[in-house]
Amino acid sequence: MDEGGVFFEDLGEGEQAPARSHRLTRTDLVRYAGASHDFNPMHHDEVKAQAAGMRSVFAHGMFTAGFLATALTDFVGIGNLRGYKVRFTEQAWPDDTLTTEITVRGKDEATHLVELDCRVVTEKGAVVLTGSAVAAPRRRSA
Amino acid sequence: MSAPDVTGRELRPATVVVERGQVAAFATAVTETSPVYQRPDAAAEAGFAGIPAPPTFTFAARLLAAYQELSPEQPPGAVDLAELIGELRAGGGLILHAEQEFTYHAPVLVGAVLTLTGVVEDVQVKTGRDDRRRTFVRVRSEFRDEAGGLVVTEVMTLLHRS
Repeated sequence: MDEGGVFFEDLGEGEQAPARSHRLTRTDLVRYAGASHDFNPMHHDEVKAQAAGMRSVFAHGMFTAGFLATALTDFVGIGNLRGYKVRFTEQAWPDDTLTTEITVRGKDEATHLVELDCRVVTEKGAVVLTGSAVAAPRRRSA
Repeated sequence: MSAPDVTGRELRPATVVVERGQVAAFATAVTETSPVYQRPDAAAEAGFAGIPAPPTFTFAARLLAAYQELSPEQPPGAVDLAELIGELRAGGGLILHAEQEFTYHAPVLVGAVLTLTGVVEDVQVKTGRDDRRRTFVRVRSEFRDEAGGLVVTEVMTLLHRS
């Protein structure tokens, strides 16, 4: 894999980034809890989650935001994001297969920035989060 | 009942140290496999002066990497995020993380010592079609380096549902 990401010149409006898919496990939630120190029991304690009326533990919103950020930097290159915004819409549950969708909304030839629409969906059609990003991909001419 | 108006409330400032082990573990936790987040030589080859942190790392840094003895003097009335959430929920209801936004001004690199400040910049109450009140609380945080330069700005929107 080329770590540098796409070239600005090669991007066109409507173009889609390669999708990233991941089947969510409870281990993913525990690993994210440990790596972020977010120990809200809703994300690792099945007993407490069910007592609160949830069918099971569910992913931290910021896990899914981080997963989508990974797909974004795969596409535009590490270090090239200038802005990133997400709205959390639904929970992601263990055994859901999360898939990223990233589309080029526009590119600015003066600033060499691209705008991206992005979201994370499950195989059942649930939209877990929607978002947008601004990136400064590398340039052939620079 | 709707959540109290906490506009202008300051979050406790904190100083965080961006550490290699925490950055590597965080990258792995968000399914990132690039060696750039794991190895100094890979980061250097990619053009970084140090191992960079993944894009959403700063959100976790507040809980993960703050050191009390490094942190600045606390302004009177400042609260931590858990206290703010407790205050919003004091009259009942549910708090959700509705939105999160990052603006990147400079790379966050391993070894950086960043000071973060935060303030509730806006509170908006909306009444839904179901007549239930929903309160959106927007918290802006700034991460600055030791020279005072802005590195990352975050805006977190919390939703209180009565």
